[in-house]
Amino acid sequence: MRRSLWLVAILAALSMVAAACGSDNNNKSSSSGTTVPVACDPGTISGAGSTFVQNIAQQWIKDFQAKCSGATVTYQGVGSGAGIQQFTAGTIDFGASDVLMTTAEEQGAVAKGGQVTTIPWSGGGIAIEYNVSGVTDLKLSPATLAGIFAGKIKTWNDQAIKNDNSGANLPSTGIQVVHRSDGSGTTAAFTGYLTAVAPTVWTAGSAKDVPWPTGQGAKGSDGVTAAVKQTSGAIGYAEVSFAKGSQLAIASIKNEAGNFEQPDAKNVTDALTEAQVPPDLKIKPNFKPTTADAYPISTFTFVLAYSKQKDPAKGKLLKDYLTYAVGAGQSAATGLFYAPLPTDLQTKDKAAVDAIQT
Amino acid sequence: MAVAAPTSEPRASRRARDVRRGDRIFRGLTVGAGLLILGLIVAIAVFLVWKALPALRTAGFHFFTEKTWFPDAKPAKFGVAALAFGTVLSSVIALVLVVPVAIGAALTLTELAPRRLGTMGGYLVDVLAAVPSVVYGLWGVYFLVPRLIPMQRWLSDHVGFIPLFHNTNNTFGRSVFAASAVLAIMILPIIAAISREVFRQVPQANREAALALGATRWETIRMAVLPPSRSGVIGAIMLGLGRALGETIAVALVLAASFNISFRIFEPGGNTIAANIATKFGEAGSVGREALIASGLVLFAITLAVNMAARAVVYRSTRIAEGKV
Repeated sequence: MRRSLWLVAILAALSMVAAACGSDNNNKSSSSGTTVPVACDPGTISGAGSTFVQNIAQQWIKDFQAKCSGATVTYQGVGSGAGIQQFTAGTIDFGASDVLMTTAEEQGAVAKGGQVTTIPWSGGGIAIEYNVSGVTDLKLSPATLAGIFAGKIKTWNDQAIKNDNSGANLPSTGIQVVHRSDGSGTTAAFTGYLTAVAPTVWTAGSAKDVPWPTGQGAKGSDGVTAAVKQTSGAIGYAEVSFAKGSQLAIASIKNEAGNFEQPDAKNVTDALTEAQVPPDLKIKPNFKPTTADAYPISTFTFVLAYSKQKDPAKGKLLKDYLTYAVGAGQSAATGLFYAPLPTDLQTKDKAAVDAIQT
Repeated sequence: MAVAAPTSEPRASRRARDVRRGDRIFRGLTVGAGLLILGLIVAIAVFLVWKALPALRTAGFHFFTEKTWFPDAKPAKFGVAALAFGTVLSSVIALVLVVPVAIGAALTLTELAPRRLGTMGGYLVDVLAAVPSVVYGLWGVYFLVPRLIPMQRWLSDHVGFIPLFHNTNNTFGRSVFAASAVLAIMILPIIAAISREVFRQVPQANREAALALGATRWETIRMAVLPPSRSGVIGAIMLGLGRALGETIAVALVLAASFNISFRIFEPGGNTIAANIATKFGEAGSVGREALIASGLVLFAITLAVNMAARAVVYRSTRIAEGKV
């Protein structure tokens, strides 16, 4: 019994070595098309936070671990707020948040673990999903969209919607707004957009949770999507993947150039490219992009790491994982309905990851 | 020891000592278990009060009158008025829906159904109790809610003059009524299973005596089974109410989470303390977390109050039944 245990242990150790050697070879002929070998240190790190980034973060983990055996990365989508809290408490190695930490939150984290590096590591569009019988290519200008969510436009055949959709056959159904009942980075980005583009119509402010003038709440993007799907005349907002997954129609939103655009990966990246990149990378999305096909309701999501890692082994692995995420990993975005970061931002992100001390 | 014969003295005293040691250990274990429960409740209460104090201090008395929930806004504005109202309203409606069904089911299983059918029905009721609440929630959202709409619409169209059934915005679906219906199904097995056990405790002689006096089956149930079961059934209902008050995820999934105080149970909206904690905790800031814990303290107090009221009712009804009042 005892001897067989030893045998298993030795075999396991051997196979790990073999796999590690193998992974080096794999990198050169990697399926994701990158020729850059993945830096690889063994160990275990864990992160938690944003649910928005969860799908792509898990994909990165899968791809990264495939190239770097001996490394274990875990990520839990517990919500941005909870992610910041756990990051500050030091129970995880990296946090993820859809909105930047407030000054107070950052001070709390700095007091616990020193300077914090904030890196925008993914981005995506927020889809306006709707359920109106007979309407498949709804177009909305910013003022109309804000009017609907502010409760000022109440029926689908309102003149403002008619003006955006000339010739369309709009029913007289009442509009049922569906919004999030839980706090959410998606809500923060969406209300941030409304505040930026239609400040006179949308006056409820921008935050993870706002006093909604109308409509009903639902828990999570899946809840919003289910409610829209069930309610005739409903309109809601969610990450693109949810709208696509439920086969709900997605409205085209008018951008600054005057074009009505869909939240495709390319259109979202075009919008993200127009955001000003500050030196500390605490980037704010530009909700008024001027590129012809930019989709304006596009936003970033961030990863948080302590600038000076206390445990060198974990620090090295964290840097490996983040390097993969902001570099080669970006190619996974489109298939998961995220948008790849602009190449300029990828370069700056890489420099920020390199600057993390281990 | 004094009565023990001199020859068997050593053995007897050793045995007595052993017995006493066993007694001591057993006594220590039971007292320890009892104290542990007491300690747990005190620890929970202390934790809740401790963590809730900053939020309570921020909101002051408004915590009990304010309806909205924006603890992380500047200035913070939050209170449990609408949440506490929704918690009690949805649970009470659930009880109104479920109690006749649960007691009827329990009576059928013990008094009316053939023995084998009764046992099998009992198993089925127990299986309902084992379904996780998130499953009830998902089933509620995707299956039950759309199917309850026609009934709500009909009631609203035909007896909408009753304020409870009135619907001002002509949208149906994720209403307090729908949440109560899910809650009712969730607490049905608890109430039915305990009531069944209570009815089973009634001595067979009682039933036979009633039948011998010429009572019909219904009269037997009414005279011989229900009166001695009253306190037990009330206890069962209170246990169900406790679960309904504290149910979190199923309600969070079904309700359209609005922060108003309205008796119009067919309109989308309503919210409960537990559901609000589940939906808001993930993205709550520091004040938000304290505020949610403070709302948990209120739920704790409501549940305690309900339990004590139930005990008072049970106590009174047993005294009445025993003819002491």
